[in-house]
Amino acid sequence: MYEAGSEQINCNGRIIELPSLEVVRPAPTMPSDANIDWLLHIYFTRHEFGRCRRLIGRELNRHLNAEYLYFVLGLIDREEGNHIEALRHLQRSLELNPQNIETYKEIGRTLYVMGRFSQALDVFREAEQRSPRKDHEIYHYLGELLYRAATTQTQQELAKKQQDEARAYFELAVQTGKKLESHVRLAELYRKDKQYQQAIDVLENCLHLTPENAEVLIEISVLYLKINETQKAYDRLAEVVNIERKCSPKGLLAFGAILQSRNDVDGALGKYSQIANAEPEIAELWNNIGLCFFKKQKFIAAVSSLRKSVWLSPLNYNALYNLSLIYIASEQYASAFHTLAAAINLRKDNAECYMLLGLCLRKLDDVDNAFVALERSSNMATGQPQSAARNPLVFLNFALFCYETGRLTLAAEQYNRFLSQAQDLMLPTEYKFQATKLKSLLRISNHVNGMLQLDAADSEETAVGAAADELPLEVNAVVSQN
Amino acid sequence: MAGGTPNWLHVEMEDENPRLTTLTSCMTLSDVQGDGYIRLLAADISLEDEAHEPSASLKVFRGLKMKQEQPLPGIPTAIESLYIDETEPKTPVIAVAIAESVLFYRHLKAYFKYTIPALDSDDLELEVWRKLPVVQADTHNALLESLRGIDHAKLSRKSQRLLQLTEAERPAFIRTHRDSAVGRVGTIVIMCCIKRVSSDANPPSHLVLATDTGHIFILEPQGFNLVYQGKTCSHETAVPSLLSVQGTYETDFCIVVATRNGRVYLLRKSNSEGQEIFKLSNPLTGLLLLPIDQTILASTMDNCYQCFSKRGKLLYQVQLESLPVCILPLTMTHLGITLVAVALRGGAVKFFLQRYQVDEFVLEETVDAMLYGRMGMEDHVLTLVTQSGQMIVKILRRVSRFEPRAEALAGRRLGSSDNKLIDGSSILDKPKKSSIFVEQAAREKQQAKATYGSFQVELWRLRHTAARATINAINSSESTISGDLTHAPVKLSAEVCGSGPAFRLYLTVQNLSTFKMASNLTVLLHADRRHYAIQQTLSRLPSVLPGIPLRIDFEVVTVLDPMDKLPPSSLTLDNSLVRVMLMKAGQAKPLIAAAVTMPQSEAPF
Repeated sequence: MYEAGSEQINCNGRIIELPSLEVVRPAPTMPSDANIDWLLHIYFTRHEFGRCRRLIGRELNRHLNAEYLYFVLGLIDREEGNHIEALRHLQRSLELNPQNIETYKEIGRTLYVMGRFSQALDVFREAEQRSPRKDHEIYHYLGELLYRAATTQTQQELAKKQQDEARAYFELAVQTGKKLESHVRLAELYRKDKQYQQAIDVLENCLHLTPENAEVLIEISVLYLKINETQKAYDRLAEVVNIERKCSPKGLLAFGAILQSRNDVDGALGKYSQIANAEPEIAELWNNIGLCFFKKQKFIAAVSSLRKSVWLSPLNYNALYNLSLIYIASEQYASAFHTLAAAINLRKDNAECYMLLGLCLRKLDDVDNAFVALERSSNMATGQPQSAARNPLVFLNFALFCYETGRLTLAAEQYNRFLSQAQDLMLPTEYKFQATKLKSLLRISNHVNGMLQLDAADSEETAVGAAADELPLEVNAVVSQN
Repeated sequence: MAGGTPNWLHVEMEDENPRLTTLTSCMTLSDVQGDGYIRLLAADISLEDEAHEPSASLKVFRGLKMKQEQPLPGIPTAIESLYIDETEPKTPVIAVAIAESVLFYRHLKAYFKYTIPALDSDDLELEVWRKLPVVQADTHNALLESLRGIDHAKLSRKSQRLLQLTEAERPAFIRTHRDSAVGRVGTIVIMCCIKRVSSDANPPSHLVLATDTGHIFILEPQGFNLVYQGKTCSHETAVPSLLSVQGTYETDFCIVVATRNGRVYLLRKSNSEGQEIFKLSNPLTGLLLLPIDQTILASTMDNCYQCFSKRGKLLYQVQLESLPVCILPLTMTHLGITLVAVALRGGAVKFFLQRYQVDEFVLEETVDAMLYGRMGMEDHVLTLVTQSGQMIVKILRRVSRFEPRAEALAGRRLGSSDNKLIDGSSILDKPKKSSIFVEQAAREKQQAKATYGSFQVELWRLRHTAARATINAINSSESTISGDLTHAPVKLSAEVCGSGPAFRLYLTVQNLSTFKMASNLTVLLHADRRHYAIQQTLSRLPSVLPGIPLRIDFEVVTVLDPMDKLPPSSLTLDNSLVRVMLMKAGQAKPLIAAAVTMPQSEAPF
C-alpha cells in the first residue's frame, strides 16, 4: 500500500522507511567563469588595444587569475610608449606568478627599450638563473646587453671581459636557438676580433636556417674578401644577384671591388654606377670609382671622383693617399703635397706616404725637405718587420734621389737595401730596368763623379711613374664600408 | 589575372545589413537542415555593450538573411560543423566550444555537453579542502596561506576564488563548495576538425581541442571518448593560441600549435609531446599548415608573412605593409592550388600563392574574420566580416586563374626589404668638372713650383706673426697682479724650495677682489726642456675665493749631464728661468705671465 507523497510504506506488516531520493546531491559547481584570456590574446595580436583595455577593465576584478591580464596590459602600455606603467603591470603579473620566465623577459625587454641597460642586464641574469631550460632569447639579450656595456665601458680590461662574455652568450644562443639575429651578432663579434673564418662559419650555419638571405650572403662574401678568398666571395655575390636582381649597395661595392681587382674596370664601373644612383654619398664608392678612372688614364675624372670621396669623408686616409697618387701622376705636385700632408697627419707610420712626399718635394725643388722625407720613409721601411708588406720601391727611389743629389755612398747603401728587400719578390720590369741602370751609373760615377745628372733625373721620373702605376689597387682598393 | 576585371564578384546586399561581431574560428558553413542548402553559421559575440554581461548567440543565415538566432551559454571559442557517422541521410552536428565544454547541436537543438577532464590537483590542495569544512574558522587563514605557496595558475578555480574572498564570505563559500571535486579544468582555447579517413564527400570527423593548460585532445564525437591526448610542451607556460592540423586521424596527422609567446610546436600521431620547431620574437597572428607541401605559414605581429619547413627552416619571408589580422587557406580544387588570404589592418586583403602575391582588393575597414567555401548554391564564396560588423560576400569568378606575375618571378623576392630599385643601365653621375677646374689643373702643372713656393712663404709668414703675437701677449702681462679689470684681480707669488737638482716650486694665488670669485683658472709652467724637467706643467685650479689664498706646488728638476753631474753649459744665471702663466678659460691672453728665477742647482748626493 503506497500513498503518494508519504515516505513510509507498510509492507508485510512492517513499516519501511523509504530511502531518500536524494542519493546523489549534485555538488554545486563553480559558476563557469568566463575565462577569455584567449580572446584577449587575439585582440592583442591584432593591435586592438582599445578592445583589450575595455575587456581587461571589466575582467580585472572578477578574474580568478589575473596574471595574463596584467601581462597584456603591460605589453600594451609598452607598445603605446608608457614604459613606467608597463613595468608596473608586468611586475604585478610577476607577483601573481613568479615562475613565469616570459614575464621576466618582457620586463627585461621593457627596461632595454627604456635604455636602462644595467637593470635590464640584472633582470635577464635572474631570468637565466630561474629558467628551467636553455632559452636562446635570454642568451641573446644577455649577449646584446653585455656587448653594449663593453662598447661603452671605459676600462679596456673590463670591456674585453664583457665582450668575451657577450660572445659566450651569443654562442649559447646560436647553439640553443635558430635566431638570425644571434648569428649575425656573433659573426659581427668574431669579425671584430678578426676571426674571419669563424664568422664565416657562423653565417654559413645561419644560411642553413634562412637560405636566400641576401644580407647574410653579402656579409659572407665581404668576409671572404677579408681573408682574400676572392673566388668564394665572387660566387656568393653571384648567388645574391641570382636571387634578386637588385642587390644592396654593400654587395655591389664588394662585387665591383672584385671585378676591379681582376682588371675588369668597365664591369666594376657598371656596378658602381648602380650604387651611385641609389646611394651616392659613400666615400669608398667614389674612391673606387676614382681608381677605375685612374686605371683608364682619365686623370681629370679620377681627380674629381676622389675629391668627392675626400669631401664626403675628409678623414679617410685611403682616399687621401689615392688622390695624392693621382695628383703626382698628373703632375699636379702642389696639390699632391697638400693631400699628402693631410694623409700623413692622419697616419704617421706609412713609409710609402713619406716616399711620395719626398718625390713630390723633389719636384717642387725643395731638396732639403725631400731628403728628410725620403730618409724617414727609408728608416720606416727598414724598421718594419720583414714579413709586413715590403716595398723595395722606397729604397730604390731614395737611392735614385741620393744619386741625383750627389750622395753617392748613401745611394749605394740604399741600393743594396733595395736589392736585399727585392730578393725573392716578383718585381715589375720597370723596377728592374731602373735598378740596373742605377747600378751601372753608380759604378761609373765611382770613376767619373757627378757627370750624369740629366740621365739620373730622367730615370727617377720613370720610377715615380712606376710607383704610381703599381700601387693603387693593391694597397687601397677599399672593399667594405665598415 | 585577367586584365582589369576583378577575380571576385561583389554580392550586393539587400536593404539592411546584418551586423555581426565574430572571429574566423566562430564561423562555419553547414547544411544544418540536411536539405542540401549550405547555410552560414556564426557566433555573434557582443562584448562592447557596457550595460550587459558579455554574451553570444548563434546565428544562422540563409543566403544573406538571418533565419534563426539562438543564445549561447557563454562566449564560444570556436564553432565547427561535422559529420559524426556514415549513416544516411547525413546530418551535420554543430559543435560549439565554450569555456571547458563542447556543446553539440543537431537540427539546432542541443543534445550533448562534453566537458574536458579535470587535471589532477596538488596533494596539498586536496588536503586543504579535506580539512577546510571540518576545522574551526580561525584556522582557515593558516590553511589558505599554505595554498598561496602553490603556483596560483595550478590551483583549481574554487581555490582561486576562495583566496580572493574576504574573511566574512569564506565560511559560506566553503560550505557550498565542500563536496565539489577539487580539480583544475582548463579552458578550451581552440577547436578544429580532423577527418577520420580521407574520402571525398563529407567524411566523419573528430574534434581537435586545445586547452590553456597546454593539452591537446582529439575527441571522437560518437561515444565522446578522447582518442588522443597530447601536450604542447613539458612546461606550463606554453599556452596555445593558434593551431592547425593536417592529415586524417586513421592514417597520420600533424598538429602545429603556436603559443602566446611565439613558439611553434609540432605534434604527430606517433608523438604526443610537442617538439619545438621555431620561436619567433613576436606573437603570431595566424598559423597554417599547408596540405600539399606540408609547410607552415605564420603571420606575425611585426608585419611578416613567413613560411617554414617542418624542421624550422625559414623558406621565405614577405614583408607586409601593415599588421596581418587573420589568414585563411583557400583550397581551390578546380585549379589544384591553395591560396592563402591575408587580411591586413586597414582593409587590404591579399592573396598569396606561395611567396607570390597573386591578387588583392581593399575594403573600407579592417577585416576581422573570413570564411571560404561552398555557400548556398555557389562553390567559391568568400565571406568577410569587418571590424564594425559589416558582412561582405564575394564570389570567385569561374574564369579566374591565379598566377604569379612575370616581373614578380623575375625579381624572385616579393616585397623585398629595400625598395630602392637599382636600375642596371644607368650612366654614372660623375661630379661636374667646370672649365675653371681644368684650367687650374693645367696651370698647376706648369707653375707647381711657384705655387708651392708662395705657399711656403705664406706659411712662414703666418708662423712668424703667430710667434710675435705670443711673445707680445706674454710680455704685456708680465706682472704679479692681473691687469684685466673685467675679472676679479688675482695676485700670484712664487717661492722655490730645495737645493737641487730637484726643486719644489710653490705658487700662491690670491684673489684681491672683495666679492668676485676667480674661477676657471689654469696654471701653466714653461721652461727650456734642455734645462729643466717638469713632470706636471699644467694644473687646473679650483675657484679662488676672495681673501683665501690658494697654494699649489710643482716639482722642477734640473737636467744634469749623466756623466759629470753638472748642469748643461747653456744654463747660465741669466736664463735659469721658469715661466709661470696664469690663464683663464676662454681667454687667449694670459692674466699673469711671470718669470721665476731658479737658484743654481747643487750636485746630487
